[in-house]
Amino acid sequence: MKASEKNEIDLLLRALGRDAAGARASSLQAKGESGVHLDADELNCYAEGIVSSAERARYNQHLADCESCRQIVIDLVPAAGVARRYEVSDQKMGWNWREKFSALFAPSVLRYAVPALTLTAVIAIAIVALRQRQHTEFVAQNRTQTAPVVSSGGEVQTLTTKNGEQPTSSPNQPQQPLAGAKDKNLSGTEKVDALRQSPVAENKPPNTDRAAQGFIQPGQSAGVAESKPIFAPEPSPAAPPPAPGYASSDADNLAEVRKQKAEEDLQKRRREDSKSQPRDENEVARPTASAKGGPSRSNNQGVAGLSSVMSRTGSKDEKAAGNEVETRRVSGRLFHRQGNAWIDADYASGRATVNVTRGSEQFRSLTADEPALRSIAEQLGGEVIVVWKGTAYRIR
Amino acid sequence: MSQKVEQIERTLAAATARLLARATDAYSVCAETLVTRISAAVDKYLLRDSPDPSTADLNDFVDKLQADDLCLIVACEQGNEKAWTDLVERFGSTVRSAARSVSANEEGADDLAQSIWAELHGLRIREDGKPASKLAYYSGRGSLAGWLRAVVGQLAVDQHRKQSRLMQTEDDAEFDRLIQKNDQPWSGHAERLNPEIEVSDKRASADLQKALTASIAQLSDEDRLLVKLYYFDGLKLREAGAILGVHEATASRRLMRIHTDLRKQVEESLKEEHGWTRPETERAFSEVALHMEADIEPLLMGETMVKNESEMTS
Repeated sequence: MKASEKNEIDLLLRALGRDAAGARASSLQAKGESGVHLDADELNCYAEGIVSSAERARYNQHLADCESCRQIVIDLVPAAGVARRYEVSDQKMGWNWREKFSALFAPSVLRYAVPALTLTAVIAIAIVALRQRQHTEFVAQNRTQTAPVVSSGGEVQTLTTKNGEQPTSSPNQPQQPLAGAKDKNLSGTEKVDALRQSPVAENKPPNTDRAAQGFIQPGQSAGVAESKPIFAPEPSPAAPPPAPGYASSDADNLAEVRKQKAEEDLQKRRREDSKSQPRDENEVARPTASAKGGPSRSNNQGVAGLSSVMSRTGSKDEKAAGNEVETRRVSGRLFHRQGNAWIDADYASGRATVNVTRGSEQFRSLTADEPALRSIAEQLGGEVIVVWKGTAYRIR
Repeated sequence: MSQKVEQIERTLAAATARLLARATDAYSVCAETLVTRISAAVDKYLLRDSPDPSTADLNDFVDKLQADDLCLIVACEQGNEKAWTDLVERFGSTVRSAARSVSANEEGADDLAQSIWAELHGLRIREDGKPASKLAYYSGRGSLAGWLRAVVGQLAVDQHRKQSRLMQTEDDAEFDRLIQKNDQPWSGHAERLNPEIEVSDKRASADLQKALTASIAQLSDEDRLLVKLYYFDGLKLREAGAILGVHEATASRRLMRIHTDLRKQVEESLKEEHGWTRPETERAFSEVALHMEADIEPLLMGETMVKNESEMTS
């Protein structure tokens, strides 16, 4: 039976009841309704619900046709508190299994239950699918992490099959998945988090700060970097060195990441410009490693991965204005050319520097502890001011 | 047979002794007097539906009687002054409250309450010289307070009937007018100009009303009582369910089933008696219901407003 049909019956019954009420008000009370009425004791027992089923059936028959007795019962039931008692007993006793089963599949229940269940199922499937997709992404990242290889020169290079570079590895140094390599495909904040969780960063040597402050003595342990001094080979123009490794403190790592990010953004903008304009002839090298995912991290063997990226920035407008600024990135540090000197981007003018002359004993001991500085000094000719582990060195 | 009667008497005597022991104050009511009263209640309620009750049934019945209330009433019936004082003191407010709920004003309530106490004392004298009091009809099965409310209700109905008879003689013409109005079939097409269609619709509505009334009469006693309580007396499903001894949800399901049954019965009745086809029946239902919906809507809104007002005041 359709709901509309039930509604029609409901309306008709209401109208019939209203007419009966009107008739009752006028004449029905004066009539003797259905013979013998229930006495006060029977009415009270019925209202208090203490009658047997046979008695109830008998009384129902009379009450269905007797307006006055029904009215007395209606007045008695609320005072007897039967409503609450029946509600409690119904909740305790419950229905029989057939009523429960039929109520479970009643149209009034299914009308709301089916959409609710469908919605719940859709949400559950969506959550499962989303989780599976995230899991797949993690697997892909893990596969790219297996690519980093430590080169013979102690530089960590990330194997990328996209750019066709042939991976090189040193047989003496086992390949280890680097936690820092994860940040290749991560965003900036994720990179920072990855760096914070990096075992290299956590295994910071105790003398690192001392080395940064220039207190490192020749032959003294300088943490990760000093365990095996490795000299980086000369960078090849055809194959630029990979991204620098991180053997410094967390603060330096974070600063490096930020700079890498800024450099990546700069490169991205430059590439977008180059799509619409002819490629700049003065562009010396492309920072492929950094542009494709940033620097790779050094492993916990203390091998300082070196990666130098040299670029010369400057758009046509800047050239036209004569404001060409030459920058180079060496060992993860960004240098600006000022005259004959290469100055670290982190160097603040007026800051005190430790003067080191190439070839001196001080230079040798410093580069022995910090091979990256040697690489910087060799790749950048002339005077170099580099900020390394909190200390500014002026290398001449 | 006599053995069975003797067994019942022995069982009742023992149960009466237990009842007296249960009573907080027996008001010096003797066991013999009480056994007679309990035997009358057993005859009225228990033996009517099960002429051969077991001892357990008898004990269960007597053990569920209200010992204190029954002893109090029996003592009052015997003229115990202390019992009367206690009765008035304990149940005076109950009688007053019940009288107030069925009376139009305070004066009417006071008159009704006084009438109740007079009825309980007994205005007439029986053959044995004792007053014919309504107290003799209290069995002790239900609470004394509930029984007093029922007595008040019955007395109010009796008084209302008497007043209605007087009013009917005075306003006979007015009642006739009302009855004629109520006898009019449902029709919402009075504004139609086509007299043939109007007459046809009126006849269809009258047939539908007659068929529905007959179908309601064919319902079972409990279903018919539910329809009367819900549609005729204006009770809510929770209240109707409480009277029937079922939960509100059960009452709702029953009402849905009754709708279905009534629809089928009305359609069959119209088909058999008047030769209506199913489309004609559906059309008549929808048209009359449409009219009723428009007609009842103000009443429903009024009910909602009253409900909201009562909620605000509470």
